[in-house]
Amino acid sequence: MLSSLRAITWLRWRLLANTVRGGKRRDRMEQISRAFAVFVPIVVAAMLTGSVIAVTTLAFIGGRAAVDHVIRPELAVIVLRGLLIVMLVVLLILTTNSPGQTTIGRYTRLLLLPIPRGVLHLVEVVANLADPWIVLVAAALMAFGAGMAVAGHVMAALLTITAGLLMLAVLASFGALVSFLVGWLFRSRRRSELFTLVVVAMLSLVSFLPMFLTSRTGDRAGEPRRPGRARSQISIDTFDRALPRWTRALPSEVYGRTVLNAVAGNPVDAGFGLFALGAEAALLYFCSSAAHRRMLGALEGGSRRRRAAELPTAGLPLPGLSPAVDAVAWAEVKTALRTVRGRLVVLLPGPLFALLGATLGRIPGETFAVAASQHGHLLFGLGLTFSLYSLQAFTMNLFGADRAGLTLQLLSPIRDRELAWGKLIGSALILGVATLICLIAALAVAPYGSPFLWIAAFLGGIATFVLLSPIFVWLSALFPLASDLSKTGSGGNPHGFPMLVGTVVTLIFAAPSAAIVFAAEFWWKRPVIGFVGTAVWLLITLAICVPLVNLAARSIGARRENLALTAQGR
Amino acid sequence: MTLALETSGLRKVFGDLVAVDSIDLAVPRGSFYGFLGPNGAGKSTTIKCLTGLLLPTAGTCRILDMDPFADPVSVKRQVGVMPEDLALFDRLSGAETLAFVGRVHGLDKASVRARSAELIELMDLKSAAADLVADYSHGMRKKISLAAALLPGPRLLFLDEPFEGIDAIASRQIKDLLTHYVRGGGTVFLTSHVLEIVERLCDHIGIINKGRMVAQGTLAELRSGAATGQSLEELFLTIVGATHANGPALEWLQTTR
Repeated sequence: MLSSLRAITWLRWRLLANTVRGGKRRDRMEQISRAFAVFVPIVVAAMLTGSVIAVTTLAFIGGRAAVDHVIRPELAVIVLRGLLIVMLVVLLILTTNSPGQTTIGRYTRLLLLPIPRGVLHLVEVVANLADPWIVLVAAALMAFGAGMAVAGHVMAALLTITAGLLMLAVLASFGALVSFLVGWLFRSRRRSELFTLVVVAMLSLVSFLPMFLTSRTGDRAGEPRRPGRARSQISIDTFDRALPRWTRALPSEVYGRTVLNAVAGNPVDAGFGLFALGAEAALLYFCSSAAHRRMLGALEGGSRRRRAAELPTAGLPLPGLSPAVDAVAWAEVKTALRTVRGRLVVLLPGPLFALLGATLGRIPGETFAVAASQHGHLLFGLGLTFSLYSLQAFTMNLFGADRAGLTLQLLSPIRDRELAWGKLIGSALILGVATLICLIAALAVAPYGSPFLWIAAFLGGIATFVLLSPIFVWLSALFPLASDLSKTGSGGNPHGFPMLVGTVVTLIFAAPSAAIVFAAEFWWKRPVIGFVGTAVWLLITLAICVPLVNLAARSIGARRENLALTAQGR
Repeated sequence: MTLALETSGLRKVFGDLVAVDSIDLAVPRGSFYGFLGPNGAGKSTTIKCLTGLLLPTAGTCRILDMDPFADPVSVKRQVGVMPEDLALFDRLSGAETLAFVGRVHGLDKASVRARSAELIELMDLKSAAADLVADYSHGMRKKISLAAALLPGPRLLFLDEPFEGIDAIASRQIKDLLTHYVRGGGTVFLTSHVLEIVERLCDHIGIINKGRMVAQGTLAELRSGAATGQSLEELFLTIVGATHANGPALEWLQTTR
């Protein structure tokens, strides 16, 4: 068992280390690109280290202060209780949000090896402890106990550290349980992608609910607060009494009671707490083991649903385009809209900004945001800009997301310029669908304002896309990254550099259109100027960018070999 | 003898690694050419150079009397390729993949429909034609990739391991189809590790080892210098210098001890 554990630990380490290594077949540009890609995880690691140090210091001081009664122990413990309950929720959300991100296929090789399934399960559970969130919590829990020990309360420290270790076991087992359950329930690609789509959309929309409900029930945001009338103070006791009885069984609550008993010098009661925490950890571990068995069992199964045969469909021919550009554009649209990312780009911005507008519209007051929410065309424009950002997964990685599909395109009689235009027109069509949904959503919540301004917002969005087009082609050719758009996490992102550039440049390029619309509405107060102005601006951008796209397309030829290697995932 | 494919001093270097070392290929029109070599010999790299996925470090090439590096698009119009990674969009259905290829080659809608229907029937993919390629098995991916290579009616076919992972029935159908294609004047350039198939199908053989061409000609020409009655497998092993005696004995594998 130990040799298996050692082997799997080594495997995980090598897999992690090898992601940093580049292949041999790389030119200078590719080496710079990879160096930049490695830089981002290093920054993240540095930030995590800083956070761990800060949390450890605070928890250490808190532990020492609590046991010396410099502060009320309940106060220190409620912070930890809060941290732990947030942690449980974070684990639940992160894991349920990522069934499409992890593949149970990675187990296939391990299952062929003489490794007991129990060991595989144990390794998976223990591996959860390396999750950055859990590392932070572990640092806090251990430092809290260490602070007590340094203050001379060894028994309390021992009990607290033991409770902390058991709590970590609970968190690791809980994370594994949720992960295995999701992996088992959504083992087919279709189901997992649908689930991810629903969860991401729900999370994004539900995040507005508190604000939406608050504004309805009347928190009286516009009402001035009376001087001298402070908010009522809630004591920890009142808070605890207000909690429903079932919450007492939550691991975070059991941990809190155990630590308080340890600090108060009640080792017997603290011992009962440890026993309860241990039982909860064991129960979660047992449940996760059962879910793990189910998930691995599902590897052998898997029936595929076959639909009736359909004749080839090529989509309606796009007017004025060569067959090659048309084919590439339709392939781009179809493949994009069949991925989680593509569907989110299209479906999310419109409803999101409509909900934002509806929420702001319910707030009694005269702030700029409230006023803007009543101008549907501004909501529409915001939705369009947000769509442009979301679309970066495609536009900033035009050649990296097709994988082997790019090889097919490189093998086909398609000129570089046709490939670039096909990709751009495909992306524009995806943006078009998103725009339509944004328009419907904005009209639903704020159907006001001059039609000229609505059209101006639309033309402004198109002009921004046109201005960005040469950059899309150029950066995509220079920094291709094999990405998987069925993933909502980093695996579906483009290379970090184009993303960074895109974030800044999109805002800069959207500014002229926004300025024209704002000036026409608020300064000149003549909407027709907005319409004419953005139309002229669009014509100017087209005149500038069409030759620039053709120029940028030359970089595809120069980078063809690198693109072909990227298509093979190298 | 007119050549469908001819290279002179074709070379591809990756850093310190010479993957293809100045090879001279001569593939006659209307021939069934088997391009053989051990793993890592440079077969796939050669095909990638010939099909424009990689840029050769040195050397010249003529495909159907055209220069693939000077005018790649014209060459691609005449060539069908089934590469190593099969070159398929995961998120297109099999039928849509064929529609894409047909459209890129400028075929009209009716031709694409008719050819796709026949190819899908032949490859026994009718019930899966509307499924996404992402949901296909490896064998089904191979079949649709081959169908995509055949759909435009190319004059030269590059096939990288076409029979690997395909069931016996489909394999037989594909062999018949390729033989029929060659009889009609088409040229096939294939790599395969299944030497029995190569021996049965191919009239010309080229053998590459460690990036160098070590033998080329008709099967009869290759056999002329060898012992009588040698199979292609024995011939191949002799040419690339691989014999069982060269390998370690692996005494520890003797389970009867």
